[in-house]
Amino acid sequence: MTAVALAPVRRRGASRIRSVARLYFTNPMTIAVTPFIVLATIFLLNIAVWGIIVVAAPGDPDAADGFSYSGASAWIFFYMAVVAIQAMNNTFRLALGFGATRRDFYLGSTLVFLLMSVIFTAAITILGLLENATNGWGLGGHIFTPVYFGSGWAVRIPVILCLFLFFTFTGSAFGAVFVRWGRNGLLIFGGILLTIVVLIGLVIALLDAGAQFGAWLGANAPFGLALWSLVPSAVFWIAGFLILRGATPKN
Amino acid sequence: MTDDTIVQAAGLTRRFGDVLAVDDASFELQADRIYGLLGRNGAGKTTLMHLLTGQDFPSAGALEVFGHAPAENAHVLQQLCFIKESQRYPDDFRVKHVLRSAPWFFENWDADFAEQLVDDFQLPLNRRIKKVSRGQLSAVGVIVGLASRAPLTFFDEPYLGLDAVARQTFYDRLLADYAEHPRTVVLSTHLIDEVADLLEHVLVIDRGRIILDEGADELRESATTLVGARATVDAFVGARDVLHRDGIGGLTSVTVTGLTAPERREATASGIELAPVSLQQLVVHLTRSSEKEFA
Repeated sequence: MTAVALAPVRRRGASRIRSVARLYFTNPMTIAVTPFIVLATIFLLNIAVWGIIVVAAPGDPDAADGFSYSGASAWIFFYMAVVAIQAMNNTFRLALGFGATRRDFYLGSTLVFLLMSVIFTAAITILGLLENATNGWGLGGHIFTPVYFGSGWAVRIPVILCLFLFFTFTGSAFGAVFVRWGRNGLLIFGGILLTIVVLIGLVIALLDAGAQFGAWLGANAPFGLALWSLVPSAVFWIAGFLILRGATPKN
Repeated sequence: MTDDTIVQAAGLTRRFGDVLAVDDASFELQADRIYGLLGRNGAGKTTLMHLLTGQDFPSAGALEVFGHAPAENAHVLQQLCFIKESQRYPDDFRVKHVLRSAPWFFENWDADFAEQLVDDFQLPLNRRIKKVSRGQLSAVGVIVGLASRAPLTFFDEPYLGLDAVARQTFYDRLLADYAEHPRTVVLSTHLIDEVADLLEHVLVIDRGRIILDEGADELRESATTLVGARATVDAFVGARDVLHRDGIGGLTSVTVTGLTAPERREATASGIELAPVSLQQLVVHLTRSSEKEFA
């Protein structure tokens, strides 16, 4: 036995979690660059479509009204959920191969998803401010400030952030299901969730509470609903953790 | 158990449905040795390593690695490096991304050594992992496994697709680095004769059961091949335990277990040539006879 003895390896939890998070950004393309490309594509397509409408129906008040109801930004939320699922599935096996625990992997992934939610909330806020400053890109449009986000930044920012959290944590629960049980697990999990939603709808219908529920939604939208969404977000986050704890890397 | 014991398994079992992938395995690994984990395809080598590295959970039995159950134990897992033939990498990774991220997880990572190995294996750093050849993919694993210098390193068939020259490079680098930085290495392989000189201890697994757990030298000495005229050899062999018998014309070669020094002298005196038995032959024989017991 010669030379250097192996150093005792004792790394703290925070440093291990950070290592997992860095793993997601080793090649920043998928997680940090592509979503911006998606956002830019959505933006340009929207502007192009509105341009066509403005040219085809100049001065039509219905068209101008329609510009306030753009659902385009919804895509970025769905896309983030997909990114969360894919990124987890992509990274899990390597993280375990590098000796990470499932716990550290999940917490590291959570850190990444929180960070992404904050970054994209900031991006949409900045684009929204630009949108307002340019009178909706010169067309009176609302891509980043649609009515669904409420009015005023004090409402919009928390609403957008809650939406990102909801979609990324739903994504991490689905990601954990996919890592543990594969494609079939994903289908069954999706089926179970759909059943729960339908059952809730059924209960509301049976209680003849449709109108009340509608009124509650109307009264709380969007700020109150955004806060309420933190409940399912937290449930998904915890479910994802429990599911991932038993996952094994498959080939 | 000694102070150097770093792995202790007792009755370790992993069941998948009706299949016992690892069946009641009990063994120990000592620090600073090179182990060979040998066995046929599907014998349970990879499953056993999944258990040892906490990637899978035992169905029954006790397992301690560095004094603790490895699954979900960060302090244990940080001491391990598991290079498996089927390791998957993120789809968008290039070779350089693997080598960039590995040091975040391996405290003892030696970047200079990794760089030298990249040269040795002529690895294209900028190529996508999905596009590299099987051999290059194996080389990526070999480099991570060597440069990480983890106190307990597992190589699960690390040589797939590597040509003879690259395999020799791997064995040479492993041995040289092991001499300078002693650690425990578990090498799971089919190419037994190629690594025979590296191995200090051999574990043979068959149908999930550990059927052999012995020092490589003791194992080689446990059997001898006798070559000579058929009548002479047969007379000498008598009722001994015969592992293998081969013959051409009047010549015969018989492999027998356990010869004492006087017996060896006696054989040589009667004109019989003594030849060493290869590890591979022994393992093949042991595996075959264990299969007969099952049949």
